[in-house]
Amino acid sequence: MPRHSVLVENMLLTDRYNFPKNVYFQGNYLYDAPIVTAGGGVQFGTDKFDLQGSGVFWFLRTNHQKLGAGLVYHLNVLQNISATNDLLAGLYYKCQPIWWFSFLLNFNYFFKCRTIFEIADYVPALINNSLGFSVRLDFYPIKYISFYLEMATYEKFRYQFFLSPIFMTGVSINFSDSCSIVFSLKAIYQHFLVLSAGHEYNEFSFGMRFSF
Amino acid sequence: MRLRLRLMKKIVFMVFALFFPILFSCNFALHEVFYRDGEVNVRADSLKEIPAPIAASLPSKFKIAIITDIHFGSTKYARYENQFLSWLNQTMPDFVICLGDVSEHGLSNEIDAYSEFVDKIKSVCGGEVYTIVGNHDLYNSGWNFFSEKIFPQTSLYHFSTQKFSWYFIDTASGYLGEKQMSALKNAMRKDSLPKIVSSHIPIYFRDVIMPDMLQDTEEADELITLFSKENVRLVLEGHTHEHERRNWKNMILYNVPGFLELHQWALLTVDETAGTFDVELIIGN
Repeated sequence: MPRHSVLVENMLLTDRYNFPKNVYFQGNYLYDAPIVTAGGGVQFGTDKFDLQGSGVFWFLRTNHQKLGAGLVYHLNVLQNISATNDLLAGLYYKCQPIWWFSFLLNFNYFFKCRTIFEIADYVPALINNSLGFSVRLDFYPIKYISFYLEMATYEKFRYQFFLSPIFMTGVSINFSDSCSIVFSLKAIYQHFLVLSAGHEYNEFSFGMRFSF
Repeated sequence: MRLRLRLMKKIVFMVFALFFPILFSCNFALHEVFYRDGEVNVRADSLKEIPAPIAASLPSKFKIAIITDIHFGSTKYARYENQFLSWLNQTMPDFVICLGDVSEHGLSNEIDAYSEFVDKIKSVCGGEVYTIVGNHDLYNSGWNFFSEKIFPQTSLYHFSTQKFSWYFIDTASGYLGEKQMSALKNAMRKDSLPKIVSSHIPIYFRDVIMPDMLQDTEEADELITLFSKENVRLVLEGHTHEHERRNWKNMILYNVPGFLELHQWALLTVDETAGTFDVELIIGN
């Protein structure tokens, strides 16, 4: 059965130094059907705005596994600083071998085009190509609770070059089939590829999800 | 179903069995990627003002040798220090800048080898050697040795000559961190001189599939905006071991090639009277 979800989320806490610069509010929509998963969202912060849309077409499906191709687009505007377009195209694999566990893996080619307003007259765009991937494990131990573990080089509103990973975990408490509250914790690391990476900061957020 | 579960358990076990020994046996101290003592917000929490190089006697036109990625402790390439010292003896620059990665694994003996090299440079050309920290210098808690033994015992510092302001920033972790960014903003906004910045990791690098540059592009955009607004004229960069020169109107991004791998470095000539400079690539024999 196709399912629509709306997630409204806001960040409560971060250990980033100049908090609350990075307080943000998010609204996301997700449509999940057997052959297609699509969604979009917006994020408002005190000094930035993000818009994101994505879609996956599941072209190969069995009882427990799906393979799909997908696209992600993201626009990030930093007030008086820059505008960034991110485009990811890649393959998605999902499997649910047992009722209480599912696994989602995706691997993407990643194109980033930035315009920095201060230098835009003589450098209209800074372009880079990179890679993106994410691995997500979802657990549904009981009807009222689900949780996930995820490692990704990108998330809905943050797209960094390979390899600056984000480690995420979250729990969803389901009051009914249509309403749940969601808590998530993210640890943001920088530049794993040079092995001198630093743990930059953490984020904690909570939200409400309505499904119908 | 049971077969599938068993298979999954085996896969998880194999991943962990391979992953953890690799983390803890590697010379680069891979396990430190999750937690590192002395992160950038601790290393570079404020900008240290240091004396200008031989300020009393610095001529109006002077030369600076720029080297990077010396990697003491690496056995991958032939060492080239003696040839560089011969070139120094002929060219006699007024001081030297080293853009980081002085060691391969951040080990104490590697930092000592660099210190001895610095002493030789000073005995040949008489000028100071200004070093910034690179990502390799942080491995194995290398910052403890680096900050103890390498002048000027900090990773974020500044001095001024007559017509230029020189900033040495800490990008060894792949990002600046909010304290360093804030310190840079405060200092640069009060400073009307044209600026020359030295950074280990490039603020922008060319279009390759895994760009080896500052990874947090929001932070990098803010930094580039600051540099452009505050009259940064030259950004000297290392890390990639490749040579690249990028002219952004009044600002030049100059990537100095790796000393150990390519036996190359750069010579910066500054004319303080005219307020100009020129960077030249030097290719060792």
